[in-house]
Amino acid sequence: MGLVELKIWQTVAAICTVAIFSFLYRDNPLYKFAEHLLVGTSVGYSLAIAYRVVFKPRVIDALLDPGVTFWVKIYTVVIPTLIALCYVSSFSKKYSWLTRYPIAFIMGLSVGLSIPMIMLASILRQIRGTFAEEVGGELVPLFSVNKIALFFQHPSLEGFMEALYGPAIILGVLSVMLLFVFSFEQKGPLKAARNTGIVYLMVGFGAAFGYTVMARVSLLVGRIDFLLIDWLGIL
Amino acid sequence: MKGETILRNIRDVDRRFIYLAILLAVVVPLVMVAFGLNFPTTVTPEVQRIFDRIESLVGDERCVLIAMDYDPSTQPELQPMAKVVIRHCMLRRIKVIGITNAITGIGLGISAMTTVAEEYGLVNGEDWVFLGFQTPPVVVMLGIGENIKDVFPTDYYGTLSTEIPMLENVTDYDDIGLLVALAGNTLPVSWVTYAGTRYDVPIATGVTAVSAADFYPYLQTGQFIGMMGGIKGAAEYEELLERLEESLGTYEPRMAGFSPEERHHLEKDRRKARRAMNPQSIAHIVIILFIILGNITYFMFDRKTSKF
Repeated sequence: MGLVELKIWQTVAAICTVAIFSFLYRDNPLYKFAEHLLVGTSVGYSLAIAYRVVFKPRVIDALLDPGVTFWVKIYTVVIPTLIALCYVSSFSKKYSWLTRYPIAFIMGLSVGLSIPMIMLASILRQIRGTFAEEVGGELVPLFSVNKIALFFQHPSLEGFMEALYGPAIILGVLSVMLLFVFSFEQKGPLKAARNTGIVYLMVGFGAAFGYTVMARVSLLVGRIDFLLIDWLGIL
Repeated sequence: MKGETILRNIRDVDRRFIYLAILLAVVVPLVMVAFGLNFPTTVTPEVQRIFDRIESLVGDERCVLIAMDYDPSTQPELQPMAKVVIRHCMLRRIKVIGITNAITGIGLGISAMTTVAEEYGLVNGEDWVFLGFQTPPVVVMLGIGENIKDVFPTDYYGTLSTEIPMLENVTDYDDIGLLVALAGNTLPVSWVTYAGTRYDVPIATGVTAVSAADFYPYLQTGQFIGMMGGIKGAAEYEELLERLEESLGTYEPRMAGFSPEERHHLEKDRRKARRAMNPQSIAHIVIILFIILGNITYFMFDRKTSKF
């Protein structure tokens, strides 16, 4: 891309950026135009890529491949394509029930593939992580009396954090889980555990909120960086 | 009384003034970069671990697989991460394979790889390859465990994978020294589920700040060896890479090969994440001040009438 062409496209991008930001003042036609342009180009681009990367090689080229026998093409290309085309039936009230077939197929496949591995990755490993962690390939319990004793022998902030780390995780997980036990009235020690759980949740939400602010500011910085540095070249 | 009036005015301030304050909090520190204002970047252990893992691959035959599963909506946070990791690999002559599971992320992926490859004078197909987009993600993740060339029969440019010299000795996850999953959604967890759990490939991740808190449990269990959270993570990695280049002494000789304009452009690109940290810090302070002021005015004027 030549320099002039680059500057023209950067100017288009800059105008679109300003148009989108104009919504912060109030809704206006310029904002609506930029919004529709974004949606239109995204869908158009995605369709073109989907055709080029998926439909052409996997359907058209596969059907025209002389090295593949007729019945193999039927099983591996025609039948899957027909099942996929059932999605299009959602545009018709009369035949929209056909969409259930590809959805059922995808659901069945996904569930079959996912359940064993999600159990292992997101449930069993996470439960184990609540009580133990891997250090140098060895499993070490999170609650370590040695670390606590070491802190009392040689008090330091680092030692304190190290000693507190494991018990804090165990306490947090148990207290937050107790918070979601609704089967009996929570009073006495259970109420204390519940309050601890609330504190943990608030800390978690606070961290998530802080990160969310960072993410949103990053997007703003990205656009301002583009306007000031890439487009105007002031730095 | 005068103080109360001021606080009431603050409470009733038009939201557009708040937007203006945030805009200034971003623009002014960004401009101040030109005058040498740079906040120091401290490196966290989770970013250091990714860096160390890539360093451990120097001289290893195995590649780094970078899944750039993001689109333009998260580009400001994730593109600097992609570039800095690719830059590290290319500096250390570690072969890089790029892929994407985001259909609108193809342009970003190829842009990140070609920009950095040109900087290091590396050759497509020999030192790096961008295999492009395939779908659905689960099939891609599991398929690479069988044979990467079956999942990606061609690269982005249409060259047959079987004819790409770099992929000659690459078949499955055994030939991948590190998988770096960059995404603004939950795909890194899918990489852990399907690639990490089943094929035991080491995975590092780079995620948008908004989703970073969700991934820490996987970091604690070691399912991610490291994590870059938001633009801060990218800034930390940029800092580590700059220190490495300074210690290797390769930066100045390489930069001498570029024209002053090219060099200026490259240097801007290499500091993109760190440059963004100045406005980040100021904007956070402004937002904290607004939260404090909002709470003060709430407790002073609205607490008694509030239903909550």
